[in-house]
Amino acid sequence: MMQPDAHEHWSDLLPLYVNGRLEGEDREQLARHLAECARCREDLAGWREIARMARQPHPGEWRLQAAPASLAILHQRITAQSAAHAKGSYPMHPSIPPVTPSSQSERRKGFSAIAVVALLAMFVVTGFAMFRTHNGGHASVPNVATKSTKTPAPTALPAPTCSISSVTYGKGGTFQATTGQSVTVHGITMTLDTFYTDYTRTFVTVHVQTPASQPAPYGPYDGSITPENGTAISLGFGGSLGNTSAGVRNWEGYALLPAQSAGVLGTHQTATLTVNRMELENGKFDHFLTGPWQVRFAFTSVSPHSVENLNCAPQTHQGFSMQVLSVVQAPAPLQYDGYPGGIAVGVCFVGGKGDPYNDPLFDELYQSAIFGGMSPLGIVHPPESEPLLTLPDGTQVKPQYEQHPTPACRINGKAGLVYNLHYLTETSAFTGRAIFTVPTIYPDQNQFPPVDGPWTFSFDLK
Amino acid sequence: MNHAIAEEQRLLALVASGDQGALDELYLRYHARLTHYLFQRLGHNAEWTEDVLQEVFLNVWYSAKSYQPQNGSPATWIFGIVHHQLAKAYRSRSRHSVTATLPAEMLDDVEDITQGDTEEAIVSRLAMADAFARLSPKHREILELVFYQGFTFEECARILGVPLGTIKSRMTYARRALLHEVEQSAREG
Repeated sequence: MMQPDAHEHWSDLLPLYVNGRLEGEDREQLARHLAECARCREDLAGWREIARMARQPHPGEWRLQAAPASLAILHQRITAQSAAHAKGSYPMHPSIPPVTPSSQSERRKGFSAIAVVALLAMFVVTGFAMFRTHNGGHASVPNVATKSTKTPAPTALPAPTCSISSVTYGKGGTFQATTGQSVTVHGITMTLDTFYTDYTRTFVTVHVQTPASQPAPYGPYDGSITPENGTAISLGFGGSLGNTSAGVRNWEGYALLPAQSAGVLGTHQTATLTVNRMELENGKFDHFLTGPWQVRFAFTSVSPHSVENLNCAPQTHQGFSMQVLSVVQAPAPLQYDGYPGGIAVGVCFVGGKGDPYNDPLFDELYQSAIFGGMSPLGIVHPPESEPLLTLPDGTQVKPQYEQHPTPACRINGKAGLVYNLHYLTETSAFTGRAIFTVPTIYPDQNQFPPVDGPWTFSFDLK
Repeated sequence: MNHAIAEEQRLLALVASGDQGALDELYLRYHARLTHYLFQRLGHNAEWTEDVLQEVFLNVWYSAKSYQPQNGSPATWIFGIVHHQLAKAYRSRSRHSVTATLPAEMLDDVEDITQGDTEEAIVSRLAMADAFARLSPKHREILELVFYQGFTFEECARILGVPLGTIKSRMTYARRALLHEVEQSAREG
């Protein structure tokens, strides 16, 4: 019979079992204990549910600056503080010797180069963010130099490792809605302003106007988008209180659809935006007006140039597998930073030891990984692995923008995560063979060492 | 030793010697983790998140020499800075409207699973489960450190500067509070 204190001991360790930090003999012993202790299994299920909630990202996280832009600001601050130090008002880095005029000049030159690159990157990211939320497909395009590097075109192209079974019109493309429709319920008018979807996510911007006599609107709540003859997709709303003018308060925000929504919406041309409750700000965040507010809208495809269903076979090195699932070539929404087009490569990554796939509650882990983009699957961080795309003209480019993970990725029965990697290109219509290479996979840093490939896929752009 | 930890220790040593490239690499490694964590802690305020993130890495830049490998991994050390900067931000930042409702109790060690009324004002319930969002910030914090950031209890204790026993009790209380909220939501729903 099991000792009570044994149960307490193992029960305390369950959170570490869930987060993968219980290792070695302890993990094995706990696994054996779980097999015979129903109470611990029940507790384990509870902790996994809690972990799933803890890993869910807030829909507003996309507003945060991407790393390159943020890094540029850090550089500026370090430089500013170094300058302040020179004036005696701020500490210099403890390791840096007193600055001589010549070394200061050299340092400034070095920083300038970094800052230029970083600021360019910042422009890419912020410009794209503005573009996708406000412009709906018409970014102002700065004229900047290309960041790609020319390499000699291969003399003998490898055979394609992926064959194309079909071309799917629209799926994976972008759509711009016919907007401006309004609906008024309880005196509150909601107007659909923009509707935009890219390969993995969809954004909706609405304005909410409330008479000045009513509390200020905080925004929509409990919403969904229902495609024509399709299944409703729940929305997460975010945003902020807008301006007040002419006795009318405006609310402006966005909605973030689940990752798979683009594929669902891609097969439909009309949809209905439904907001079931409108939240009013009364200081307690508990004041709602019940609708529904419903706006029907149409959208059209603007990205017919896509190639999908590549039938790429997965490749495996040291237990990690990778498979190219989709390739989309488009003039938009990648038209920014002076580049006329881009190619998005959807890649499925599966891997990791301490195999969570044998876990009876794997589905929960999988969901956690999808929503949290975190470690239960030992998933790689593609941006750190510098996956390269060699274009048909021999140009080699690095991804400029990496989308969040999306589901629908399974190799040999094991689930993983899909990343969409965006490559900016100098034309929106490359034809010929392209080669996608990942030199090294960097799994979750707390669990697995880097795994050297390379993983190489070649495919024909049409 | 874990390869990633060894690599980050090497980077920290380079940062301590004034290598800004090493700082860049650390920044890129930690950007996603820290922005998520700070965003949750700072009422989903993107601007404030960015500000505090910058302060964290300025601290890394200026204090990398103080990192002692025997006291924990670089991640634990950096999150310790994060916790310190969060406390500083809560105390000093008054221009954000949410400051008045920010959780002062995050800064002490009092366990109180019934707190949360004031925190609710800063919690956006847009995508997270309502029950989780209604947890006190202190409880969400420990759950995110363990389940999102992947720290052990000992590492959490170092980061938050509290005894190991406090971490374990916070986990217990957090779970209890969460289950309570879930049950309450189910009854109301």
